[in-house]
Amino acid sequence: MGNRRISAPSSGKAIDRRLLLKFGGASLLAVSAPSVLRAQAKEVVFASWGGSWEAAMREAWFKPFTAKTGIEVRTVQGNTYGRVQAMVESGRTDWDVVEVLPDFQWIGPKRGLLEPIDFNVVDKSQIMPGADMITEYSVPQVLFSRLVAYNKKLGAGPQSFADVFDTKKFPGKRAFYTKANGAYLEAALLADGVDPAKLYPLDIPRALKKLSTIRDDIQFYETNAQAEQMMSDGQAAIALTPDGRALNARSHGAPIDIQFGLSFLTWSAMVVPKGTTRKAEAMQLIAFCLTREAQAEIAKVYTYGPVVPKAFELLPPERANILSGGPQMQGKAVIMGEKWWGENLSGVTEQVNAWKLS
Amino acid sequence: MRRPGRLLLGAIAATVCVYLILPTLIVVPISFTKTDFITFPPQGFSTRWYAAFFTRPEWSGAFVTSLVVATFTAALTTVLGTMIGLALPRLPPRANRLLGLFFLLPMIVPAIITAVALYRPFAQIGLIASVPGLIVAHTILALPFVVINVAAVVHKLDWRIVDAARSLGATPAIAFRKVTLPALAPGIAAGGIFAFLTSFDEVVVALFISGSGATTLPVQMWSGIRFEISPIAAAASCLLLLGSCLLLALFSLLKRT
Amino acid sequence: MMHAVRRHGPYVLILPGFMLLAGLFVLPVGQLLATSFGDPAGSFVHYERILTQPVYLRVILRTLTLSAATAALCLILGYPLAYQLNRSKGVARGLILLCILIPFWTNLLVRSYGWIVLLNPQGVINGALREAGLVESGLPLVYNTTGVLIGMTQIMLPYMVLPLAAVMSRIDPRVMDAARSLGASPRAAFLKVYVPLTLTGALGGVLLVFMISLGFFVVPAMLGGQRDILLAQLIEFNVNQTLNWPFAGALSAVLLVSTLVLYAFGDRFLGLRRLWGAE
Repeated sequence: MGNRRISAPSSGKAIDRRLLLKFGGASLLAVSAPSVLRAQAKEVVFASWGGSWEAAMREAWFKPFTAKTGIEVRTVQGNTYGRVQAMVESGRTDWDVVEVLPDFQWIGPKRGLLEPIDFNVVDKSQIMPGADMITEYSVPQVLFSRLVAYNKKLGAGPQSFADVFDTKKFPGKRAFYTKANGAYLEAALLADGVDPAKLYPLDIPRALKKLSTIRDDIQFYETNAQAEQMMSDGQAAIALTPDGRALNARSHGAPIDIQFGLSFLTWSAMVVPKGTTRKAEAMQLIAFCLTREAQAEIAKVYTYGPVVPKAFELLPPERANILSGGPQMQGKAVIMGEKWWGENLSGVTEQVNAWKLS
Repeated sequence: MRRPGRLLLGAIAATVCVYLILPTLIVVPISFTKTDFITFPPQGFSTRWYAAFFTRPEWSGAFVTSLVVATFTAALTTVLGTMIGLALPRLPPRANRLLGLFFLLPMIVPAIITAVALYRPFAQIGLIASVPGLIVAHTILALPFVVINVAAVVHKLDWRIVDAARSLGATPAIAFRKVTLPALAPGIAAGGIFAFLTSFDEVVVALFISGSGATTLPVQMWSGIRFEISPIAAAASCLLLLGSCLLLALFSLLKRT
Repeated sequence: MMHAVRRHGPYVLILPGFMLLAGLFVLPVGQLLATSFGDPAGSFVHYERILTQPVYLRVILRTLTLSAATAALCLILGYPLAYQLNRSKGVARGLILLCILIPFWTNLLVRSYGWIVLLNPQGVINGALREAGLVESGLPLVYNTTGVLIGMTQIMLPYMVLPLAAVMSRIDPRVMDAARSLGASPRAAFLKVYVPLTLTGALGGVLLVFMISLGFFVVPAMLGGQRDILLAQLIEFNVNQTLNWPFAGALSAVLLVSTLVLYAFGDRFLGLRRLWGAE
């Protein structure tokens, strides 16, 4: 913050002593902390989920961004909410952009952990409208969904969520993500006849009651790698899994088909932790990632959908068809009530854990 | 015991031995597979996953970080732990017992609690996501092992030889350097190896406080395994296994002398 | 001055380590526990939640049963192994020791990973069973409680075998001979003489395994399934997902108090410190 004030035009008065002290402090820090030193060579730190996803972002986003602006993007992993909190509360924010799940759009600001997005730099007019995707403190990054993938031996597979919960019609295990917000509660309610438009607030007891009807056939997975494994080896007849993982498993020869019509659309978001010294660079990077071209590039190399609808025009139709938010899902996908989840995750988790252990 | 009894016992013991060693050794053949996925029996023979380990910066970097952190941890705990191990037996019994317990605490408190507890204060003093932070945390965790090992040899030390050296005119410093220290050396070294290993293997606390250029190998393995089941984790496992075996060999050599 | 150093020498030597642990370990743990009482709505709201929401008692119960089962399995498998180790010599003894020590010194993640490779439905064991025509589809050996028990028992077994073998090695073989010469059958001599002599060691081992298992985080997370929600995972969830530090503090207090009570008991009655190699 201090740096920004120094670069602002001076009002001609003597330099504020506190400012000088701050500046002095900053240069002292620069000597002792290498991360601050590096920051002066124009850098922005992006905290990511890592793995092949990070590699994809590097190709589609970070390299072109550096080529265009001269700002290096350094990535770090372990982007947990707890880390953001510890960092901000200790006044040592060394991450500039963090990719998070959407519940943090509300958890973060509630605890005062985020910088507002500078919408003079970031163009939000192109972003898909509605459903709380944009907040004062966050912008969506890419779209993804949790959708139904099923083993080919089930023929045409489930046509509705009621089918997903019908173990007579479609015998076999159901693989669900272990966290409460893994969309299986939503699926249970839809299977039970709840109107998709009136899904939230979720009726948890009703959802758990529905889940109980197939209890012995549910296999919860802890990690997405596990979900892929279960689809590949036929352990799960039906899986509710991230679309990217289902597509990846299928392209690696897993005997599965994907039901794009039975999907829950959600997104990942980008936020800026409070107190970063590189806010301007962070905003530049976010703005870059949200251009139509950048959104199309990432959608080409990784199976996430662009949050900028116009990016679909830059994609070949066969690619667009398999992506979240693409033509196959139009009008069918249920949008996750992420704001509701941001407020209720803790309480619902308690209820779901109690159910799991009962 | 009669013969059938002996045979049965032998069979049980052999089975338990297999149970113990199997999951440890299974990573060896897996790591030499040619395929992208884990298959058993492994197909073909290739060292590509080792090459990947040493060329991919997230793995090789984590390996280097782990080595650095474990080395410093071993050095620090050896110094601090030797001082403590030397002092404890010379305290009055009550103080010895209480302080002895105090220095065991990091071993008793469950790692998840230590991890969560260190998180915020470490963030406040800038130790999160830094190599020094990992060293400090691991020094805390490993200290009990050095204290235990040193206290054990101090206990057995024949103080009369030290007194003899003193009476022959050695200053306390010289007596310590020439007599006490060599006598304690095996215990100190054993403690140091234990500390190195504790740091090199530690997952839970490192999961919380590493990050941003200071990621240890176990943490990288944790996220690697959770993100994708790839044989590169098997290659990493093999290297860890090899390291453990070397240290174990060193340790038993020390115990023998 | 010199006088003071000599007199307080031991304390001076202890000081640096003491400061490190006091400032960067005991104090932070204390702070974590303190946050659990610091809610404006009342000092004990978080503890009330633990006691009134059925899920937490169930998780605590689950943690206790899994740890107890691990300890029991370790005793059942560890006792014969320790016995065999103690009566073996030469190469056999060396081999047994290697089988105990190599895993003991090997990273927890490596072993959990090894178990996943062995136990998963497409894994080594299921593959062999299918090959032999014993099963059609894979047995569910991992990502469930079975997997957690298999993994935890293997990881904790050295903590049982090593102290137990040490206790057994201290038993004078003449005691057994004496029992036999007084007319006891081998079985009676074993049950009435040998077993009681090893009882403290065995109980100590059980307690040690139980205590360490209570705080397990990595193994249940990697090998467990839907019912394997243990205290440590809830602590992690509350810190990393919902940022509810005070509640994480309260759960930590439950785990820590249980651990310390067990330790105190073991230290007082079963010589736990000696078993652990500390003394």
